[in-house]
Amino acid sequence: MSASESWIDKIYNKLTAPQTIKICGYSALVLFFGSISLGVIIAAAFGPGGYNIIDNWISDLGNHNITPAPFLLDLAVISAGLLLFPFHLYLEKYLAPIPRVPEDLPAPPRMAYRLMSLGFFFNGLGSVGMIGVGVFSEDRDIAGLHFVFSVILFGSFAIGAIFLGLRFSFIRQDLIPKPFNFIVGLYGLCVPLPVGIIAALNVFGETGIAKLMEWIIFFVLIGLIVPIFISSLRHAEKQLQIKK
Amino acid sequence: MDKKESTENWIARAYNKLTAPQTIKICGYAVMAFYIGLLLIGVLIAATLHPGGYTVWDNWISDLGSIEHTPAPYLYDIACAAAGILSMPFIFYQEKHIAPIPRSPEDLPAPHRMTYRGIGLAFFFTLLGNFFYIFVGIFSGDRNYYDLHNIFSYLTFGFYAFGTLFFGFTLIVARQKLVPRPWNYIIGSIGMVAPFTVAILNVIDSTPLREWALLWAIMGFVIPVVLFTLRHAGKLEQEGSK
Repeated sequence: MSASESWIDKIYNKLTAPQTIKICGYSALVLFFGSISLGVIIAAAFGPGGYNIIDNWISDLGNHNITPAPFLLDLAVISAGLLLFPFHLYLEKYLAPIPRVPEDLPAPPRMAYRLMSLGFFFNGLGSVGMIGVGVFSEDRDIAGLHFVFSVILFGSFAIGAIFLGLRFSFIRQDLIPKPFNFIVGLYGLCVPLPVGIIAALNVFGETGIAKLMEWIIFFVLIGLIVPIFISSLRHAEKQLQIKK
Repeated sequence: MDKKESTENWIARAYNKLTAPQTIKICGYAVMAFYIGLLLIGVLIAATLHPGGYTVWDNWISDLGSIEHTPAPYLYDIACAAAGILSMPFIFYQEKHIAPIPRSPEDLPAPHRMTYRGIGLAFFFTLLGNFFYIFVGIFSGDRNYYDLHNIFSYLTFGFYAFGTLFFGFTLIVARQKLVPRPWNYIIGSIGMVAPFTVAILNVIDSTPLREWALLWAIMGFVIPVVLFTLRHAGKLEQEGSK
């Protein structure tokens, strides 16, 4: 299945190797949740005006006027954005495998390829949004790019969740075992986009709960990404064991 | 590989019917006649028989579907609905032949992963563009309830612009037999650049001529691809009859 013809294929195979997934997975979990949690605690305890999720945007964690450690949010989102890329490739590779040798047959139905190409595209775009949010943080918000990348981040992950949800719910796969695939799939299909739309209406309408809604869509997306992430790590672990 | 799509259930059977060369030929010639024919006749009638006249720099495309601008608004409504419906089998056929899925060892080797990605995205955006185009005709200028005509117009043009972007990209990067070299590079480049650029110009500042330019940019990509697809379907049909 892994004919490595060109340097691009070699990089692709390296990136989607179970060992890479394990390293990236644990690093992303530690860096992202560690930095975000630490960022919130530092901002709440040492920030001049304090910090809470009702009165502050997530992006405020990257503003030196609100927290003494704005680099923590930048670190969290840039590292997570980069470390998620191998995961998008890994998910696509195993949820829409392309037969390369006769032993790889039978291939999944065409819908699996359609859904995963869309899932890969939107989740990849979400990762680009994450990196952009970190690079153009509130302290470096050139030409309103921070807001643009924030919209790309949340919008792309919310749309990508639909395609992943469909893939997990309706087409056979061995990444998330039954019945968890239905729970995760239906959650991805039904929750992130409607909540994202409600959050967007509040943010663009500048309502009193806009900041809280941004945190809610953040938690909703975490609620989808983390189980998929952990299942992928489990799957990668199994692949390593099979190789041994 | 082309003929070996599974025939297990009714969905697979419908898919095979929809992507049969015969269906593609019928839909292809019908869409050419209906859409281009009705669009041209619609413009001619509006320009010559309506007291206010009709020009592409003063009138929106949608004016062709409004009784205030033409004595025959139904022509454009039929053109939109027909184009939306009859174009649908094309994207299924193009997807099937540009990114075939191996079902047996004889079908190997499979295309590169990038081909599946590109055509998957092109399929999604183009199919939605086709779907919304039907509603542009249903909710025409005369039946613009709740501003639905404008909403569906934006959706149609937006999805087509993204669809041609990804389709053009796929034609360039994929090894495929639908659009032969060097035409794939020329048509692919047009698809990647022209519609998306004109769409952005329309987002910045929309004028009737810019809206028409967007339609021409999309047609400049779609018509050659449809012609090559018809040629491919014709060849397949000949091979099948032998």
